[in-house]
Amino acid sequence: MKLNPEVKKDLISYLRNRMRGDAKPVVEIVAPYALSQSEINELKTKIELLDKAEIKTSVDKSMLAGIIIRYGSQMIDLSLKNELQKLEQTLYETA
Amino acid sequence: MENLGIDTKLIIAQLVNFAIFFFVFQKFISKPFLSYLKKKREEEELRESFAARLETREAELAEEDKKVARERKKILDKAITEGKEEAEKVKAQIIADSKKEAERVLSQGREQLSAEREELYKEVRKQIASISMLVVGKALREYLTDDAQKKITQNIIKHIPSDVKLEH
Repeated sequence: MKLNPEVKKDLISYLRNRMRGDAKPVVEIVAPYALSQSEINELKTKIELLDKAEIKTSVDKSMLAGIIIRYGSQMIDLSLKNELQKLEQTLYETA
Repeated sequence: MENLGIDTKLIIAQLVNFAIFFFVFQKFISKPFLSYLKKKREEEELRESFAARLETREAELAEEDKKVARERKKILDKAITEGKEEAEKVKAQIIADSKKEAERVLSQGREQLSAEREELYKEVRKQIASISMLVVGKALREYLTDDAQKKITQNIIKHIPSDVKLEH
């Protein structure tokens, strides 16, 4: 099987870091606007994982407000869009 | 005798003649005829006996026929009665089965109708919820300013519960 050279490079880097034991977990924070450092710091105080992780931020206007924190396949969805979806589900179940 | 006009010789001759005639008659005519008559009478008696036996047998056969006919009628009547009873049973069974089948179909129809109604309600509820959220989402997108977004987001960050956990 032939691997994409870029994927191969990333994989080697990841495995090397893992073997060295100095790799930090990468956590992505998505918000409807670019988060300021103070907001990120506040988040770090609230969520312990963020303090030890390498944080990447991205912007998604469609989520209306709030934040989404992604770590690998896990996530915390605190967005307004998610709340609306939950409300929609509640409406559907109770109407 | 001759004076009396009787001819002795003639008489003797006639007597002899009569004797011969009697002998011949007895020997060749009377006996076979009587024998023939006897035979005929015996035959007649036998015929009559046969006829009587035949008549008796005929009567017996007729009686037997009647008996057989009666038996046959009895068997036939019994068969007809049994057939009627069986037919009634089959009819009742068919009616019962049909009723059961009709009830089953009716029940199935009701269940199907109920399921379809429930499905329709679900779909309507889903549509209502979806449209409501679409309208709310659109309205929020239109009226949420950048400042409002920031304020809400900051408020959410401020109020993150301490036990919040990552989920798959």
